[in-house]
Amino acid sequence: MVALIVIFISGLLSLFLAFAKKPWLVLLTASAGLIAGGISLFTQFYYQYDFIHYEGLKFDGFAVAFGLIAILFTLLVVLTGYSSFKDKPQHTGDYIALLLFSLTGALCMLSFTDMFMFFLGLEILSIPIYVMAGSNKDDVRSSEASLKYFMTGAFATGVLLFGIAWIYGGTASFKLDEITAFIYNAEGTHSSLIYIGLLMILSAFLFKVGAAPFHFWSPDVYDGSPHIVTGFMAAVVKLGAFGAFMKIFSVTFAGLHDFWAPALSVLAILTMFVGNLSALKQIRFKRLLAYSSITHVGYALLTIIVQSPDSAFNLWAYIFSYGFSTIGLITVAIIIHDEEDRIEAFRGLVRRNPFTGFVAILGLLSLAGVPPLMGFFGKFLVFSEAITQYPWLVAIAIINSGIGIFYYLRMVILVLQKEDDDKPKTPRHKVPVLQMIVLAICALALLFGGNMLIF
Amino acid sequence: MSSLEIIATVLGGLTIGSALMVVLSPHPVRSVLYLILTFFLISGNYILMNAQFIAVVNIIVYAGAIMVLFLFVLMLLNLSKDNEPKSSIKMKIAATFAGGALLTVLIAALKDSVILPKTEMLENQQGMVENLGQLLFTKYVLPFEMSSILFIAAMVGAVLLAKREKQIIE
Amino acid sequence: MSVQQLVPLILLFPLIGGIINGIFGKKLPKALVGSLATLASTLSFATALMVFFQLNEPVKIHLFRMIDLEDLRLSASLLADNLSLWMVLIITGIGSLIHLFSMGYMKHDAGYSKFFTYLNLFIFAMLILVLGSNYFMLFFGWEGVGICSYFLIGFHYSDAEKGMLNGIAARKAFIMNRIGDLGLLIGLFLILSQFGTLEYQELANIVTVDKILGTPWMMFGITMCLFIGATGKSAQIPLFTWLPDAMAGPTPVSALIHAATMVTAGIFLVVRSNFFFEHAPMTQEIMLYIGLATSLVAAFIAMRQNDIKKVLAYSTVSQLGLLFVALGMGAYTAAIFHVTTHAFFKALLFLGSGSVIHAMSDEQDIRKMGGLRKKIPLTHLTFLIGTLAITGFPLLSGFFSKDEIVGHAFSHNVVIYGILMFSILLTAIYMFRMYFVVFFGTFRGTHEQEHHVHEGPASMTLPLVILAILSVFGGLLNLPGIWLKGQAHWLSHHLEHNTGGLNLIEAEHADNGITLMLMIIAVAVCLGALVVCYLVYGKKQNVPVEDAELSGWQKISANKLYIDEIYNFLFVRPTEWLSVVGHKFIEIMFLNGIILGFAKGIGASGELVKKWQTGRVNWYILWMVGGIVGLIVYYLVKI
Repeated sequence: MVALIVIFISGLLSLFLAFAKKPWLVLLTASAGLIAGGISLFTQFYYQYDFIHYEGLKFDGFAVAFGLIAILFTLLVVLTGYSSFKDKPQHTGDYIALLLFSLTGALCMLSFTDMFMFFLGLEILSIPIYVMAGSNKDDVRSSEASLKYFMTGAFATGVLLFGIAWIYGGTASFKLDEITAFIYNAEGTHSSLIYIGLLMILSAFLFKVGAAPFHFWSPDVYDGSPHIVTGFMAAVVKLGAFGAFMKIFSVTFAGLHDFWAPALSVLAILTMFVGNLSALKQIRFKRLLAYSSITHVGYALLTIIVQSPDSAFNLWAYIFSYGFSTIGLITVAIIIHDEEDRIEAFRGLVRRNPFTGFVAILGLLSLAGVPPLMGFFGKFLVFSEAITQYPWLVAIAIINSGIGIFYYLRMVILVLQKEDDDKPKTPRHKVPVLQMIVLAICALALLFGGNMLIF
Repeated sequence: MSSLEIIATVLGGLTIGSALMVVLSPHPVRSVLYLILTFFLISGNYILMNAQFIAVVNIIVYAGAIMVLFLFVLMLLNLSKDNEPKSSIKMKIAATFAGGALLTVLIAALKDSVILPKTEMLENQQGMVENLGQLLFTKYVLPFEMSSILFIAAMVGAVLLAKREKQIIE
Repeated sequence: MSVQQLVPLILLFPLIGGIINGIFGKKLPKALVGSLATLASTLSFATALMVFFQLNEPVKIHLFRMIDLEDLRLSASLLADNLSLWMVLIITGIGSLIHLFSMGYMKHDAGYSKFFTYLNLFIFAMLILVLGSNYFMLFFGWEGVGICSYFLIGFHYSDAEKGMLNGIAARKAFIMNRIGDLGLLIGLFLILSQFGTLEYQELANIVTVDKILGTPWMMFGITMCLFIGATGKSAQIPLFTWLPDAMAGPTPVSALIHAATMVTAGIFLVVRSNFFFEHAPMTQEIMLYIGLATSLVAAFIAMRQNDIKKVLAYSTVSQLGLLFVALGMGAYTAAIFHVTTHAFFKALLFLGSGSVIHAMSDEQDIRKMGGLRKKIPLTHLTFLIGTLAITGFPLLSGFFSKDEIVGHAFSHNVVIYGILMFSILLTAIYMFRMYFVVFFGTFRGTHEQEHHVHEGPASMTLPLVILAILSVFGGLLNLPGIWLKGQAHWLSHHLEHNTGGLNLIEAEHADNGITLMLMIIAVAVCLGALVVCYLVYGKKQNVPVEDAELSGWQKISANKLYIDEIYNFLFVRPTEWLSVVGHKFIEIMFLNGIILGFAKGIGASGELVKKWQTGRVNWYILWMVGGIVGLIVYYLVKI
């Protein structure tokens, strides 16, 4: 709770500090707020205190674990995006504030105990992102992305509300524990209201995480949005959505697991294939990232499908590794700064900027799941947990990993290749200090984080 | 069938009919007018459920403020047949088919659903402003305050999107 | 420092040297690269010496776990006992000398740093092979030396004239070794399945102390598989033909890898596994006869070879055969003794031949040499010592080590003794033949070559001198009991002292009279060959004729018993035929269809899926509605 307030207030502060037209001040406030938020989140959980009595949010171990990496990812995104914020000093405060508000929503989505807090959290998470997606007003694609995201998002919200209403109709409660109890008590004799409500909520979740066939928005939106927004969506928004997904489906609707798990399995397979196959022929980097994220959603869905005490940790580990790879790659893309955002612009990166190229390779290989990088361990945890219950699902996931390696390695080769001799040489990219720090953190995490996950 | 039920059925039918007209009427201004009608009818439904406050707020906010805004926008845009975005026949058929399918399966799924027995009789004063206020500022203060975050985010966003950039003007 | 700390250092120096030269070698000056590599090897040798004087009990050093499963634990650990340390001393000692020699020999080579990188890495792998405390480590080193040997045989792969041939020779060595490696690997699996561990000490305990043995067939299988591995690495029938071809590599490589160290890995393997072989008499018999046959065949082929390195290569094969005869009789310490002296004089001979080749501007044909005695006196002298040592000239190192094996053979079986003596006679003949043809008579090369003939730099002559001294006095390590009652057989006692399971078969089986008689026979054989060869090649100055003019046994010898041709007919042709059939029918028609079809299918579906991404929100929402409808239909069907 304290963390939520601290982060919100630091967002407000950055909003007002923007009047000073000193971007570094805003950055400082935001970073301080994020760090303070992280610390308070942890200490509050550790020492079990809270200064007001409230209803609707509960910061348990799950929320704290996911919340901490949400804060960490936001911090990385803010740091890496600072160089692009700086170009428009009058808006730095607005952008950073919106990102922080969105993080507030994410925290809310990780800790809700009520359906309406969940709904509020989802909206707080989404609305700033609708705006941020369109924040590059010079680019028509950015506006288009914003509008598309907003329209499809509004539809999904409608579906979600519809579903919550059905659930209320079926169980007469908004509280998660009451719904859980109701479902367990009335084993086998549920009214169809609950099933339909569940499916509606499922659809909304699938939309939010970007699973087939609710994924169509994501390539367009990822592609159109400014880089940092893409990074934020891939890391933090996805994390919030998955956290809530797990809370509702692995806990609240656990009693109906036999009902929804097969449907979700089929959709997970569909998601993997759609993401992978579409990614094969992409030429724009963020689009590729979008499809790759769709594929990874397919893998991550396994943790929700599998009912196990370790599922939450596996999901956490998976998102943790995925977030670092994505933020690292997005940072690299920002450094490359290609107008058209072509994958081709990565060619010869390692010769121009060895360290940046190295991080790009690490990120790509981690996404592909190559040991000993973090992505491998994330995947390994997820797959090894699932293999006893759903061997065929894991088999398909592994086939997809194989397909995925194709386009990741293609990019790795690009990064390693020489530039064409007949074209003018791309000059060495300048790397601001903050982005260097982000790159270093990502590289360290990708290289050594995996071992931490195992132990 | 009691008189209350008859009123509820008629009101429900009217609401659905008017909502259908929003989608079906070819002229945008008429659509908006039908939408206003729909909101009034929904408010009627609220009153039937003894939720007077919500009914009033619904009329003030949606039918009053938002719809007037919609009308202004439509008039400013000056939509006519010529610059109306064309949607292809294929799209229309597909949309009709999908909507129909959704309706059909929903009905099929819900036709024999069990409605929970009413566990507690609603008090007469439940939906009144005073009681609602009591609840909002005590038990549900956190969601209430959370919604303020939502609004401030939305406001900042709206300003950010709507404001013209100085560079563009220059 | 304690042994525990020193032993890993032995391994570390060559590794560091190899890594530094591998990464920075191209940028460093040549002198530094060579000195660095030599220094690494020498430091290793010095460390080994320090360990040698401290070591009393076998020391096992655990480095790290490699595989840790419930029923399979493999750790990277080292075992320092007298056997492994003795091998380490040979490897690093001879290795250092050859590094030093190479600094002069390879001076003008473009791949200077590459060469030293490989050489250091080879030393590292070889040390792992002998120092490992289990078969897994041995296998690791085994493969390591294999790959280094491959690299070094084909070192001049880009040579305009012989590049292709060098590459083919390297490939041949690699493939032949793979066959042996497969045997070794199967052997390891058998051991693992039978005893559940690969650690030497544990296995020795199980077999010798607990007396838990597999069925005789199992023991036969294990030992045969290990032996097949050994035939590959140590060039025994039927896998020996790669070694003569391996002479395509630079001469120091031939000296180090293909004479002194790597090829004795098979011997080491058998000695290490002596507790198994002691319980598999059938394998021992097979080993004995294969060794005997190899010794004889190789000596026969060497009779009419005219390439100076080929002769030495066949003599190596022949000597290795002799070693396997010793192993087959259970004379492990005698074998290690001969390995030691053989390392001295064979390295000396190869380096000497290298010096000759260097002096002759890369000429290897002995028919084009001659009269080099006066021109390169130091090389001549050391080469003569090497030749005398290998032929068993009295009181030189080879005399004692050979004598011990021959003595065993005599008490084992007189027929085997006779054949062995015949093989030794052949060895003496072809070695003296080569010696006289190269160093006596008149110079037969071109004028240009004659003009160029010169002694190598000090870095080349110094190793020769040291090795010559060792070849002369190496016999002192293991003197027979006939002269020194108390101090005799120092090496045998030393090895037996703390090497698990190693049995010493006392050479004192026969009384002194028989020993003396055997010695006199051996001396007579050696001197007889010397005299005959001197008369034929030294005095009359006969020059070997062209291969085409030979007939009878000489032609067969010159053509290497047609073994390559036979292998070609038996194995290569059918394999080629099979692969052509496989290519035409299985690959093109069957696999290509499936795999390419699969790839095409994925590509095409990628295009298809891409088309769904229309970019219109209407369709997106329509898909979403479709998804919801699908889910509800699923509900209707399921409930």
